[in-house]
Amino acid sequence: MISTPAQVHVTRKARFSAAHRYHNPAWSAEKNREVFGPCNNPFGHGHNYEVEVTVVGSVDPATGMVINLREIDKILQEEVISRMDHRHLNEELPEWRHRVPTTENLAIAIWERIAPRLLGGYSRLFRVRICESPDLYAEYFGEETP
Amino acid sequence: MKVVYLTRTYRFNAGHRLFDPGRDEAWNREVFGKCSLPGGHGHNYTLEVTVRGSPDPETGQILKLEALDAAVAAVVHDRIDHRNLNEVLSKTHGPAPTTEVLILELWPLLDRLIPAPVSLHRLIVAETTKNTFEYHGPAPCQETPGFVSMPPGTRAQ
Repeated sequence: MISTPAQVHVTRKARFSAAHRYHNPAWSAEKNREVFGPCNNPFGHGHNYEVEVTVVGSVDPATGMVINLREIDKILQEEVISRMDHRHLNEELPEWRHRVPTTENLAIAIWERIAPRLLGGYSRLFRVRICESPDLYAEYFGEETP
Repeated sequence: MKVVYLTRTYRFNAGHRLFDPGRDEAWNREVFGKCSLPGGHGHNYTLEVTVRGSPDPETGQILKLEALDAAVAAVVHDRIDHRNLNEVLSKTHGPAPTTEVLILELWPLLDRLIPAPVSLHRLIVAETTKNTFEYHGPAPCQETPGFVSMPPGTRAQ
């Protein structure tokens, strides 16, 4: 008889503060202003971001863990916090020179950086949720449509 | 196209009395308890609206937040906020304005105001910090693909 290992979701949160500006360099100043409103103000603005990483997997019988949280912390520190915390995303990170750092795009970008490192023997990345404020968040599950 | 879910939280207040006028006082008191007391009462509700779509390559956004705010304003703030739910809700989903009835009534009203190709994915209404109600819409399976658990016996390599 094949046993079905129970799947458990584990979520770890981290916080960082960063500045950004919604601006599409291919557009006129007027169009940027019209589409993005105050998010287009020339010097940018900032948020206290909260990022939640959820990993799903079966429980390793040796440790009782789906994943060692220290491992998530290390990956988040290296891929997210050390790169983004107290930075101006548009000005300081090359990936945002030609891509608007919206909450939606941040969810995808964080997924793409951490998902390959979270493919463990028992677990995989399930969800990245990024909260720009307590009232607004975006989630990415690695989902793609043709 | 990568699919992202965006969730925005709104707040409103409303009064209600959980009471089925087709039944007697004793039945209502038995089923609804103090929520059926004759003068009614009210709550500070929170509404989380989740929409599903792909970021526009030019804006990085799945929709303009103003469009979502306008939809919620037209449905919730203009018709429900600071109102008595016994008066403003239809009886389509039940005689008493429970939060279940409220969330079922909100879905089609909001759904038709979300601009395509973005779609309404989920509503969460919290009546108090202890009671939360969630609806994923009438389609048979609108489950987020990511929510499907890994097939039995499989493990990521």
